Amino acid sequence: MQTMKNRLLSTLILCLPLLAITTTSGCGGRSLPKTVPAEGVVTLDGNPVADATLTFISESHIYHSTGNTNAEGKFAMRAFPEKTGAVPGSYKVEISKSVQGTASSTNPDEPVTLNLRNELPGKYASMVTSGLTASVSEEGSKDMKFELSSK
Amino acid sequence: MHKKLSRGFTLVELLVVIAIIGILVGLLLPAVQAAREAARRMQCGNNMRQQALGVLNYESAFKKLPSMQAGNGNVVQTQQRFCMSGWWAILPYVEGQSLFDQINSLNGGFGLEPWNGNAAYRRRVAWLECPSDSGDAEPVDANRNRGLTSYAFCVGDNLAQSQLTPPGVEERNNLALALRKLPIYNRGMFGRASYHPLGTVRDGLSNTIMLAERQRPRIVNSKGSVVLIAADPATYAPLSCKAQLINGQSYINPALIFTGDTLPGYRAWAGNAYFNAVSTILPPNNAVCMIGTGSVSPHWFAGIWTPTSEHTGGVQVAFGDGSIRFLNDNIDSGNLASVAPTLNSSGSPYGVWGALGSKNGGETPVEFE
Repeated sequence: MQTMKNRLLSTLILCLPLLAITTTSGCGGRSLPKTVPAEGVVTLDGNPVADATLTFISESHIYHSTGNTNAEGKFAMRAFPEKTGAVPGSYKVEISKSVQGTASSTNPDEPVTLNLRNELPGKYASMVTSGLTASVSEEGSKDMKFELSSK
Repeated sequence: MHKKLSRGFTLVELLVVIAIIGILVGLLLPAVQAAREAARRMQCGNNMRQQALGVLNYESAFKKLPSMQAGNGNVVQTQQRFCMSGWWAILPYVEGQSLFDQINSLNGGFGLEPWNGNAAYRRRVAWLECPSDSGDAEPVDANRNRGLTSYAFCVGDNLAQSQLTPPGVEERNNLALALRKLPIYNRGMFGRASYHPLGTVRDGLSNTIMLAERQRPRIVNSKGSVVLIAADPATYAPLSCKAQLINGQSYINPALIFTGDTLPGYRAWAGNAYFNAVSTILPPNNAVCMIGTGSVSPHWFAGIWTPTSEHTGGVQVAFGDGSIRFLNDNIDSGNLASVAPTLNSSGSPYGVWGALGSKNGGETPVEFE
């Protein structure tokens, strides 16, 4: 009986450092807020825009999101590197399509030249001038439309 | 006799001792790690104090602050070479006279291109490297590894750039303009070819940031790398830059990260804002962005040069009076949806953080710690 008790006690004590380690290292885990799908399409004068970049800038919380369009002009927003989707809320929207014409040099001593252009009208590239907004509902929004005009 | 022999430690006693040792080690190890980082941080701040003293010694000698970007380099068509860093300027005041002379003697005394592979530009100096910074090799192209730095000169709360871009005329393609080596002023203490007397820091030296940390990114998409945004700087809101990096160590949209050339922190002797400027627009440890369009060498763009570090929760800065302080990531940064101020506007829209960066904003000094 005595040895049984001792054994029980010793296993318990042995478990303590394990417990201490797991609890102290456990503090690092930080939980991200819930995200929902935020998807849609970008068009310019009715035609889908490929390789455009969208930025949703939140007006109600700190979790902004970004996304890129595919060949059909479709995009899906992402708020965190570790997780897809956007956090529900209302956003101001920026859309641009940057094209880098790089004149790379073979000589490592020469500086690289970049011909950077935005192929969409410039006003859509800033939340100050774009006039675009988006609202992501609690259930997610899957059919957002951004119809840009080159005029 | 038999009883005496059996005296000793029982299994239970041994296990208890082992368990206690285990608990103590478990408690102590994290503390040791924290102490090591605290020591590194202290050394990191000490380096910055050396730099601040170097800058102030330079001021004692010339009655003016050094320029972030300057030098007597030659300017060649399509290759802007007027870009030695402020670190080069203060070398004689931080016991670096021999390296200063060595750099100056290159190419007959005036061929200063801090990106070329000359051994002098590969020299690493201890007081420019923060021991907390783990970036050691250039992630884009190790061949372009140059002198390393973890620190930068404060340019204030405007979008600082490294070349003149008057409408239609790019300095890089206009030799006559480039040869004039015109100054580019910023709202902070430093700029290109701008040597400010201390008296121009009207907000007070103890209220104005002189230097801050900018960590070297270890990999291309980690904090400290630069996001390239094709937009007009005149209408760009910093909140959009902030949206690229949320509470994290890596950027959300890897498609925007600039990987075309050397990353910040890997070219200590180049004075471009890209390499050696720090802005007080986005609070510490946020995204770094360069903004603009056109045909230029990407290192010359205007940008939001946010300070970053590998310390937990903030960065160290040196104020104009030489004091070193740790500023928290949560410092008040005002209205980030506001377009960056121009040179002549008065107060900063970016709260306490913006006010600490501008040298002549006229903001009332505030408690910020």
